[in-house]
Amino acid sequence: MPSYLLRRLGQGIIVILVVTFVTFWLPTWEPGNIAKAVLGNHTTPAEIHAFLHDHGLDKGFFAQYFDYMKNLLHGNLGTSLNPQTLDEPVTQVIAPYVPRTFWLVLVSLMISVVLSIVIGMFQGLRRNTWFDHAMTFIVFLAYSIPAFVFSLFTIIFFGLTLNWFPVSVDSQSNTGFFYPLMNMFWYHPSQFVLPVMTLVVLGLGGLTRFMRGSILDTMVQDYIRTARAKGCSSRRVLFKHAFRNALTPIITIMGLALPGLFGGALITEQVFNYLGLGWLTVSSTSSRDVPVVMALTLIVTVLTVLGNILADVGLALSDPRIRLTGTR
Amino acid sequence: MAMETPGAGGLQLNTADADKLVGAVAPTSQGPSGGEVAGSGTMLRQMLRIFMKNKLAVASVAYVISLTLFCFVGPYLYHSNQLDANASLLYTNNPPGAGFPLGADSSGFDILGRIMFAGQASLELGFLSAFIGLTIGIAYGVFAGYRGGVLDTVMMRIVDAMLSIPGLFLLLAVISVCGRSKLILILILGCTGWFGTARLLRSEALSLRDREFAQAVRAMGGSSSRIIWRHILPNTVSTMMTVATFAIADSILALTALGYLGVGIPIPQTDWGTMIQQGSVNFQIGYWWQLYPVCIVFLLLVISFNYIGDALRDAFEVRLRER
Amino acid sequence: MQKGGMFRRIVSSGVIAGSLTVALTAGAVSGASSTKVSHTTPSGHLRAAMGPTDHPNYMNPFSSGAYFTVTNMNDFQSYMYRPLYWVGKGADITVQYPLSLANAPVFSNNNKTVTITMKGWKFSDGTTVDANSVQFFLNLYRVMPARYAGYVPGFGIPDQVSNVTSTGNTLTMQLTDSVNPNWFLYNFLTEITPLPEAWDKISTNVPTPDNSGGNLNSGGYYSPTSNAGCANADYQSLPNGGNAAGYVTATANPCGYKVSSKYHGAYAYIYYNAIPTQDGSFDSNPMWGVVDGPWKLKSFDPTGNVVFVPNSAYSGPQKAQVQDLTLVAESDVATETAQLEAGTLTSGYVLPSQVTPAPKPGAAGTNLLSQLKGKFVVRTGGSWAFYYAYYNFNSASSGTHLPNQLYFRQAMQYGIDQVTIIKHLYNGYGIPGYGPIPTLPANAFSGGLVNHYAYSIAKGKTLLRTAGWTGTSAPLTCTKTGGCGAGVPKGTKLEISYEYTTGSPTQDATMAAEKAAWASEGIKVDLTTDTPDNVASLCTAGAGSAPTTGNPDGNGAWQICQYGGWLYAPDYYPSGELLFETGALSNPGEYSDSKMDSLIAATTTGTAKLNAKNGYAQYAMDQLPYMYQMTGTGTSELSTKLKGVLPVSPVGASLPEYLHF
Repeated sequence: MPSYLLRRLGQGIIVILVVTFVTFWLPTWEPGNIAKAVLGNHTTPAEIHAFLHDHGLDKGFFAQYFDYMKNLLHGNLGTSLNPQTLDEPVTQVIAPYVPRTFWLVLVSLMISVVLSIVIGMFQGLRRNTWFDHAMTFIVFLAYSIPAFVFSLFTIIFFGLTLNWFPVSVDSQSNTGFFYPLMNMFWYHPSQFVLPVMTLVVLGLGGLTRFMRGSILDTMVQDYIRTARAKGCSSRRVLFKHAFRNALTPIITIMGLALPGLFGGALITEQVFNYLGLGWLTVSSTSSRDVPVVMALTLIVTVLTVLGNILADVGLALSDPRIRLTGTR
Repeated sequence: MAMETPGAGGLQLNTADADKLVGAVAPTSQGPSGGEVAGSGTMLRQMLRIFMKNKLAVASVAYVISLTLFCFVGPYLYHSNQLDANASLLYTNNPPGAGFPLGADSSGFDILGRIMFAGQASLELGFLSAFIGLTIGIAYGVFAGYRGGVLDTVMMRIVDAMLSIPGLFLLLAVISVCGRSKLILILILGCTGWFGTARLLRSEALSLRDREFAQAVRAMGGSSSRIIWRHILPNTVSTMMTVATFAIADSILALTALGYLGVGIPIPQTDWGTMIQQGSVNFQIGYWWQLYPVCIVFLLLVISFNYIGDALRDAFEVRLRER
Repeated sequence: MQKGGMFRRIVSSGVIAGSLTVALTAGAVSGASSTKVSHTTPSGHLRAAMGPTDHPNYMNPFSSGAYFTVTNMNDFQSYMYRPLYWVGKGADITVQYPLSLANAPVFSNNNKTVTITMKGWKFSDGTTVDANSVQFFLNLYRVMPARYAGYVPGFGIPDQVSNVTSTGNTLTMQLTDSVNPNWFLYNFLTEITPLPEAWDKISTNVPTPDNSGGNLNSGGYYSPTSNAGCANADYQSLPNGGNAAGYVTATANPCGYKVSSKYHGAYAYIYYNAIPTQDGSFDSNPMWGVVDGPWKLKSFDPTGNVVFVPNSAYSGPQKAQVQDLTLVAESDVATETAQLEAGTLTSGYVLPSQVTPAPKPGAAGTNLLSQLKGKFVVRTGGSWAFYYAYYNFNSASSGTHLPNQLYFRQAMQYGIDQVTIIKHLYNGYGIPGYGPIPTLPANAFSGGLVNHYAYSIAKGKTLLRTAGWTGTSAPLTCTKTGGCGAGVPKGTKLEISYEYTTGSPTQDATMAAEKAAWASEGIKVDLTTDTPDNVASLCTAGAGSAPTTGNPDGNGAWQICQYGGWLYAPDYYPSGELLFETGALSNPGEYSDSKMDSLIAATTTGTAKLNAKNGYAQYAMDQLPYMYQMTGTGTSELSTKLKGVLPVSPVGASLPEYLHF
């Protein structure tokens, strides 16, 4: 098993290396324009040259990439090019936004996993009943609807028509890593209902579909049949055996769900004015703050890759066969 | 690993369905069986037969076709000003009524005509960028699969890495560097949307190149390009068709998401996402007609694509089973 | 000078113009009396939204172009450091002597001598705001004029000031020429901010500042090592830095910066400590704690909120009446609107489309957003500003001398239906602009001026046909033998590029409408958009500089550029020397007309009225050196709980000390 994990880790590192190359290489397309955009009026070629030199943009391609990687390893993601935050370290610009997205995505993911297990199990148990069909249809809808359309509908229905929940999140104040979590559960829970609901529903589609299939697969396994033959009630079988075994792959799928969730969070943050990584990405794209956008892309990808690896590790640890050999 | 990634956001078809299809194909690469040069015509016919059994999918195809006609032929039957932003000024935010069956937007353009006009852009862009993406993806995938070995591994690791960047982030990253215009958006969507295709076509090519017929051709001294052009590519037609459907849907969804984020096709042209974005701002002050119609048209399209995708996948899997 | 046009980002958004100033600006109790309002115990919290993505980034009022913004000057520095003469209160745009640090200036000796008597108000450290405080500013200005954004080569301070002497509360300025007293008062004396002697320090470890006035690559806080002696230096003996040098390199001097040794003057010290990325301790640095305004900085977060508390030692007529004033950093209009709806702001702004149409120009409607109804009142008002696009009269694009043809500029102006655009796209919240002098706010300069280019596609068409352009649809082609004017040969297409700033859907819709109108005249206009900074840099690149490679005449390939407007503040006198004068720094299109130059001279040195018949203003309206556009009046929101509120200030005069609950 360690060799498997090592290999998995190696793959992750390769993936991250490729992504760093992309985030390094993309901005090199238009260095002259970056200089002009930043330096503003009355820029002379000499000043552009000085700027390029200061930012190391006049070196050879691989020398620059080497610098870039060296900086990355020191936690240095460059400096912002947005005139509002000019020359501030990218890490400093991004820092307040990270916990917001982290908690939003994590909480939504947890809720959708729990919900999908419950729904999927009932669907698996009551296969081909009206409940199953109704849920299948709803899940299909949830799976189909793009994030922004769904958020719009929640805003229109729950926010503007029923006036139950605020339609945006006041996320400006930020005092530490756990603040967004406190904000979510203590200070302003009502503000988070709609965004979290959006993300949960979006994640639910795939998870539930998968959970249902997984339960159905498990139910026909030999040992379940044996248990049933021995006279165990079907509910008991479900909880004791099928549930645990069906849970295993859902850990993997949680990891795989991450890119989609980040994409969904990007839209959701925009819709609900939640100042997270996604919001910053859109805003920095509009202001052409390339270093910040690249850093965000890199961060989100690294988080995704880490999530996948963690899921694999979790899977390996929770696999009964592996666990048994571990304890005996 | 045949699994479905939970979709979220406009791009949910993107990586997820590539996974599904890859998963479905995977077993064949392990156990190549048949030796005959495939009758792809028959296979297509089989797929079509299975597809046609799915009533919802057929209805969805009908919707996609009629929406396309609506967008491209509609303007010839229903005339409205979509270009003269000066003449339209007098009608800004007109509610539905005489002359404006669905009202007017905040620039005074007729919404009904606007949906057609925006749809042209969205569909054109969807098709063109899907075409670019397919071309790159097929070339990349077939090449990697056919060559195999270290090169294949390296090329596929790159694809894996690109697939692990959340789609919208990658799109925005490119836009932040390149800016945006219709042409640039087509290129961007095309160039960032081929990774799934490449992975799928690669496994197809991998399985086909070791088949007996390909080995026979090679033994007889046939060139690589001949094997690729005459034997591998024709055998992947049905795969390509399936992938193409997903690619088009992906591009349209991605474009709409971008439009909604405010980085879609710049005015005076427009796309559905931009319309929805503007409608959602004005909805709050009561201009519902700027949001609902375009939302419904677009949502039905998305749902249709999903049904078509499901049905195609079914047909595809049957084909694999029968192979 | 790079003020107004280039860096007033708030102004450049056009639609939510002056959001913060408009939001906060409260008027006085009434008139010019110094009656104090009796609210002895400050209570309540003001929370004002800053403009989207805006936040102050410079402390020192003596600042270069990059920091010369409404956000820095009107909504940050002026709370703490008051200008010598305060202009604007409510709708009034004249000098407010009760709020000023000095009595009215006395012009004598054929308008060549100015005598200023200080009122003897106090800085918060107990020192007096006296003539020396003014001289400190003037001495810095003399040594490095190009470091101050208000500098106009050859005009006013310091180039027309031969000597300054100060004793106690009296300051005397000797001028080289006779000046128009109003022009000198409103364009130059109002720019002066008396500085406390606590800032008159030097530091030996400040790195070399670069000449552009903006980009700094090295960080660090620079502690003072000794007194610089700049405030008391003899004005005449100081070297005049002139236009070219960003800082003085020749000799060590107390006000400047000397590169060749480790001797650094007061300027370098203040300059470095004035930038948050350099200092990072605005709220704790004792230097910045010495204020003469009604507010003191309590906390400053360079990316977030700014909190002020009342300065109990303020000598002026109105002390602050709330416990604290927080400027809330905002990311965009939608986020800010959400905060208004949530009730976490006492003032902010919404999109003009989110309120009922303006009943008349400069008047506000009511809220449409349900959560704002009854809790906030909508406010609007004209700006002492005008909006325009620059024509490039010296474009590097081959064969394009279209802007040089008067008939072409006239045809372009004929195609702009400002009245309809304001009504339908600005929801009524805009003022048409036909020349350099705004029609609203009401002022003494706009009477008698006539606009000859009211919207008329027919007239534009006729002009173009007469000039020799033919064809059925845009772009027309020049078919006249000998061409359609100098530099426009036969066969030229009537096509021109137009670069403007993105960010506002209203702006986009406006440009699309104008483009369509120009197309029906026969002019094909190619619109391109970019961020405000990118447009500004594109359109000023090479202006006034030597020819560069691939750019033969040194003035860029752009043809028409629009990135903002001009707010007449703190140069309040609407004379045209900064914009229309040959070689003016804010004239990137290199417009040059000798008649214009002489008409401008007549208003600055003589006493000719701006709006005299055949005067400068009318000539600028007739000749169309710039393409005039409409000015948004904005829709700001103010909590109904606030009292002491008077109209929006057209010059962005922000007096939050008058507000109370």
